[in-house]
Amino acid sequence: MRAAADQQRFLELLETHKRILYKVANAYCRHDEDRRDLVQEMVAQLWRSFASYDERFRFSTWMYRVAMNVAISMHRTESRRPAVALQDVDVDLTAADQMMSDDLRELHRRIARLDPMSRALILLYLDGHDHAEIAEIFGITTTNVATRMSRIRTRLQEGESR
Amino acid sequence: MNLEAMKEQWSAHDALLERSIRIQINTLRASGPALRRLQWLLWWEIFTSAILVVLLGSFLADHITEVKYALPGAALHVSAIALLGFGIHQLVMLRTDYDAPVVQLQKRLETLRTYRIRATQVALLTGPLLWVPALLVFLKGVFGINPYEIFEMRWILGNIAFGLVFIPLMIGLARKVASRLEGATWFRRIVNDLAGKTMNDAVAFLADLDGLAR
Repeated sequence: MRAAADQQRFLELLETHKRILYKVANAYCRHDEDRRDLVQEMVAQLWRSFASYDERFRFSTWMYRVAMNVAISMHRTESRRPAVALQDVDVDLTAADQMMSDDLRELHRRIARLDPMSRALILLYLDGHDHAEIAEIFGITTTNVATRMSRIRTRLQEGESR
Repeated sequence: MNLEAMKEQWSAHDALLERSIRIQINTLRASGPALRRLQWLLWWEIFTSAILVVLLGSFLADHITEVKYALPGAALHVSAIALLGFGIHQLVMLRTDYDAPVVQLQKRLETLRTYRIRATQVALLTGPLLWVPALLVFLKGVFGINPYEIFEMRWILGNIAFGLVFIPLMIGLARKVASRLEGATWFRRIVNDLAGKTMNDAVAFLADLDGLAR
């Protein structure tokens, strides 16, 4: 049984960084119900992994890593919604969606056409992470990040699908 | 589309997200519904495989000197052990730290996925081949009946030969229909597994991950 203080701390951190869940869910899901499912899975996995979170490191970096791993693996297994959805987490992203400009919507459409790993990379780039931070999250070299980012930028700017 | 300009719009939208997203946590669980389903499935597979290993091992021990029973018994026993091994391996890999670096974890999970695809292929393709040995072992093991007195050897060998022919037929058929299937995800997934489509996809993804990691 996890200490109540642990839970409280986790919930506070999650509330502060909930935008990460929205951005990752948007990048990997097109439908509302799929986004809600993914958010549920991400929250569950974040809680499961919270015991191993080292507070010396930025929570947002750790959270991105877990969230992206969940999103990519769900995307890869083509999981569908369960027949009876468990309401562990109530999610309402409507207001956030309505505030998006047309340009941003177009950007999201182009991101949705990228492969799963490229979506994760561009998400971190747009969020202002530098190559070193992206490399740390991915466990790869900054050179590889730079090479891949260059290809992704070209693809997005030309509006090409993979 | 100017990506640098988009970064500014992205930041501006990001600043509004704090107030506009509502995520209310009703119950804090350590696993989501998808993971729980998979864990239950794996435990069920391990349980049934373990029972089969014990029962078939016992049958094999009882009939080790009789080739006509030992051979089918051994074939089924090996299959059951392989199933059990697969199940345990997958359960171990499922206890994975999702806070591991993305490329490292995705390689691990995708490798696990290839094991599942391979297990599905083997189970579906060897099913028609193994049903005759299963029938022989079942009749002898459960009812004590000599199945060779009921079924002619020609019939038995004919069915085994049919099972062998069935394998390439199944693969060919799966490849033909795979791209046209709509509807139930689980059925489409099985057909895609048989056709090799999901394995090709998994191999391509692993190659992409290797490219990132080099």
